[in-house]
Amino acid sequence: MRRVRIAPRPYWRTRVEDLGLQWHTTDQGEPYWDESAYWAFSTEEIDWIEAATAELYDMVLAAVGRVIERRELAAFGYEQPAIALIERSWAERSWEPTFYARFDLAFDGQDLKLLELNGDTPTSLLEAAVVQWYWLQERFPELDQFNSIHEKLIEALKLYGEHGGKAAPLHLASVSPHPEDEGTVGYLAACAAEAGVQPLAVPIHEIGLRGDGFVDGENRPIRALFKLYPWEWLLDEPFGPKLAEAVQAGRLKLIEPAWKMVASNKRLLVTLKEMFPDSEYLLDATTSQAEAAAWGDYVKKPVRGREGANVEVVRAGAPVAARGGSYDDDLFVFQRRAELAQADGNWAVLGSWVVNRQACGLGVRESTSPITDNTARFVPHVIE
Amino acid sequence: MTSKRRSASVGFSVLGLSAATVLAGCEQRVEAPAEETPVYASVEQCRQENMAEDCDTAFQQAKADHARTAPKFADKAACEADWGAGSCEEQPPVQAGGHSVFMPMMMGFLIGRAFGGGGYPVYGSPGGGLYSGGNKVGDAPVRNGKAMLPSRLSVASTPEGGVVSRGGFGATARGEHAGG
Repeated sequence: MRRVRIAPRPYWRTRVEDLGLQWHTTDQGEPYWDESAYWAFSTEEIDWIEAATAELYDMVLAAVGRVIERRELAAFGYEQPAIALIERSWAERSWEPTFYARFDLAFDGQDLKLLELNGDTPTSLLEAAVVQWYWLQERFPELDQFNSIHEKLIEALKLYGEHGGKAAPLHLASVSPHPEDEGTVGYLAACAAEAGVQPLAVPIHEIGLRGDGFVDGENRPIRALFKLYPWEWLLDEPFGPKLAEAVQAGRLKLIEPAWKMVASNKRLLVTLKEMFPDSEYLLDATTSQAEAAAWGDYVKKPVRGREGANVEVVRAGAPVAARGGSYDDDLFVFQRRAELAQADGNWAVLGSWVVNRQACGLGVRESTSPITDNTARFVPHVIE
Repeated sequence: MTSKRRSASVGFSVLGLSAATVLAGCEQRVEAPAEETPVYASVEQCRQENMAEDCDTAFQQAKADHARTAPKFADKAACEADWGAGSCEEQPPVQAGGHSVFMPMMMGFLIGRAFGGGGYPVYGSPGGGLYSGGNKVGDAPVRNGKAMLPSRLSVASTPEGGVVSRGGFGATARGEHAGG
């Protein structure tokens, strides 16, 4: 893999805005969508990433199953009613719709390692599925890209519609006003409409409680809710207990399902390593700081953290990078440090998508810090 | 070369439209028959029509809800500007050194029968509007600039019945990004 510099399309802003990407520039005026470079992968590298993603997803499913069967959810930081919700959603996983998940992978051309999985509220979806597809189409129509995310999303939503999803509208909730989250949910809503499922967007704060059920801002009942909002937050907030009751009683279906909390919990990295010690894709991981200290190079992560919050990178026993955040009271895991791809002063992390249970695409995020956060730039890729 | 790892097309008709625009076309107004929900000014009034313990429970729930969810104002004047002169009460500070707040008095309560009989506080505005759970649930006659509950009143509840409370989700994000 290599990073290639290239002049951005002069009209790129209007082009990506036309595709729905309103959040192409950060509040600091820096590009978030960054087409001043692209990453070029060989076909063999893409084969590798695809196979690793598929294998990792199978391993994650096995690990989630083991954690639930062995009743270890307390060690992951869960209490009731989260535990009951997770157990139920897992027992019924064949009927529980799940649309998508994103692995974050470290890949430098030599080693490919799992950093973590966002299975509950992954974003950078429109960027990967649509915006970089059009970029390729205009810049390198003769080249390929690891990106059938859009096709797979439509398939997933058609499947959802065929299995009862057309019985009620699919509500899609996000923080609002928020261009990125609303844009991501708007894209999924458009996919739903394309697949014949009626979408209804609802700002998360407008969701109303009426008796034992939930309604949107127009008082329409919510039966199926895609939420771009972490399960843990929903359950902690005032309507959490009623939400748990409604889901447990089958009056309300949430997408992603509750077991995705466990899939995304970084404590699972320790379970994965225990179960698959020989996997070439797994880094050492432990809950013991002493054990990590003996490695010298490691990364400390809150188990339910997001976007690099409260992550600390330690090299040769000394912290070299750290980010603050609101997860300082969470449980922590320690993961052996992996080499990220590095070029032109940037660290790159690969976001590898699983949609409808298939590895189907890639999005590259770049940062000038070894900790990838929400401001990390999205850079397109090609297969050459 | 033949492309096979990319979507064959990402050309869909609705692409690029905001969620709001996409969804406007899909909206269907559901006009369900409104159900009547009685509003009681007192537990005694409620007991004339209901089981005594149902009324007691509903009243206690409404009172607890009132303390927790009533609209709060920093000073009495601001509260009275919205809810009418003499219609506001003071809520003492939760902890020593805190500030007290003002909120409209609960003028009555209703029983959300359609969903298990929970009690909800009802407030009256100077214009005669009756509010519960952040929603206007009906109208009452106005006397001396205050909404008055008549001896017997039913309000039209929302379609499918019941009072809607909102604001129970979203606080953790504080308006920030919630994806990852």
